[in-house]
Amino acid sequence: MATENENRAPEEINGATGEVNEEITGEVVKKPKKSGGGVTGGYMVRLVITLALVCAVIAALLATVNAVTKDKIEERKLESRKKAVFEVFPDAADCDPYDADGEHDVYVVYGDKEKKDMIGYAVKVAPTGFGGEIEMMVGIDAAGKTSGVSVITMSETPGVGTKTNSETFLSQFKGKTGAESVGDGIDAVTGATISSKAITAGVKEAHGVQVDLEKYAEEKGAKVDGGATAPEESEPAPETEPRPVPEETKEPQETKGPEKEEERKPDETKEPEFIENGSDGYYHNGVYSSETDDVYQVEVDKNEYESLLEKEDDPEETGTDAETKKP
Amino acid sequence: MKNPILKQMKEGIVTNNPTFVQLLGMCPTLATTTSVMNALGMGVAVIAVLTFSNLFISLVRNIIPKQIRIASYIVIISGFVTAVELTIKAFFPAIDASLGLFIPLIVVNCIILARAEAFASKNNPLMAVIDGISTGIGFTLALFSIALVREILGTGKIFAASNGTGGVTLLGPWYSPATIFLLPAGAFLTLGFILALVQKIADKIEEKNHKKEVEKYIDETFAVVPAEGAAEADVPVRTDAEGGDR
Repeated sequence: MATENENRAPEEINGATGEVNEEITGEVVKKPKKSGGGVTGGYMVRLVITLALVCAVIAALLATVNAVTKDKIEERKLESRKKAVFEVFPDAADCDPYDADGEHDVYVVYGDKEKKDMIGYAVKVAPTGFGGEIEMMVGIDAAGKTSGVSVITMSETPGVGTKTNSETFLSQFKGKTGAESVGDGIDAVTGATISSKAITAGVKEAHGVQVDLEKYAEEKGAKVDGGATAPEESEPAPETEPRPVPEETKEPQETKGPEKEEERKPDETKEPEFIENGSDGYYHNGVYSSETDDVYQVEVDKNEYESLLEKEDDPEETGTDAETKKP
Repeated sequence: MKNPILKQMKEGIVTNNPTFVQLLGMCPTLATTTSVMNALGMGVAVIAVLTFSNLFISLVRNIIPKQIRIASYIVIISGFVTAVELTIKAFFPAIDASLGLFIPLIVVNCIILARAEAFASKNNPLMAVIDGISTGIGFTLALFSIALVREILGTGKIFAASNGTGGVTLLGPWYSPATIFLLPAGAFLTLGFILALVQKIADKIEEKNHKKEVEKYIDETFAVVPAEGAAEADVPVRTDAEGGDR
């Protein structure tokens, strides 16, 4: 609005006085005018040219500096990313950027230099903490469990919020499924609840990013996780996915009937559904198993855990399983 | 202090210290003084920007019409700030990690624009560069002294890297760090106390100088009668110049 008026003003003035040519060719002709503070057309042109020249010179300078530093900056950026990825994957040898959803920086991590063994992926997330965004890298292994969490940058309160960037806090996430929250599997750092919650939310967000390692591995001619357990581990995962929804609808009705002892067992069968929802199955497992069976107290990996579930539950719960699958 | 260069250096570092005397650029002063390394990084960045922008502005001071001078200065300053930012990103990633946000904000640091408007646009390139360097050093020293207090009291260590590692432990395990000194409140407290201290010292010096002037004036007035007129005109001006800076 303002610029329109300013632009119009000189034209009106020129039109009124009829001195357009004189003003442009002549030197600085200062006349007390209604607007423009006495700046005439010719002088105006000089102002514009001078400012444009200044901008051009500075632009040239910046172009030069940019040309010199560009590669170096790219290099540094990649270096720091790789460093962050390697931090969450101690046995990583190399990593590749992976196009997940266009929002998150995802890196597929290899266990060998030849990029044949995919051991998992790392997601960069930036949850909002107390003092702004916390940039962090979350490593997720082929079994869908957190392999490590590292903070890249944080602007949390020094000495309070920054305490969350410590081994004691971050190592709590290791081996979990990203479903845990503060108070439920994760202990917050005293006085830094918001920062702790932010990091926990970041881990959850990272687990929510869809990464189809199997498919990507096929494309690349690599295999997921060099370990023997890996193919088995990644295969049951899709199977558990369709299962939980009917289970969830059925179980509340069933749990009302049986005694307390059996109430817990349906809870155990719920575990796969927790995994699918992105919540923690193992934590619950640990709690319940401490009352029923010693075997469950050990933190087992998903593969072992499911085979255990089958052994324990099949004799008793085949009926319920069959029922749950029907609808 | 006959040498104009030395005089200008004293002006920028002591008499007209941008932080302690002019109280300019308070935002970066308060924000980046959580550790000595941050403060030094910020100081060096400001010295670089200030020197180059002063030099450039002084070179073009006769070409730029006064209506667009502020716009031109801002373009020049932001250009140099971006250049410094890119350089830091490329070659000093550690400083970039801790000061990342504050480097671009040098553009709006009023010290830079103040020196451009008040000095560089009216003086030759050599003096402008001297002014830029000395004002920058004055700023850096001010940041350094604030950061020294804050880091030692806030962490018990000194010269720690931006991520809190390393550094020399000055206060042993018996000292429980006063975290408030790392928070904004601590920044204001420290700045206030240091300002009071600087002011106290300045007052002492001024008082001393004034006493000397008065004694000199009395000596001159009563010893040599013909010099009275000259001394009378001279002395008040000098005392004014000493005190008038503040």
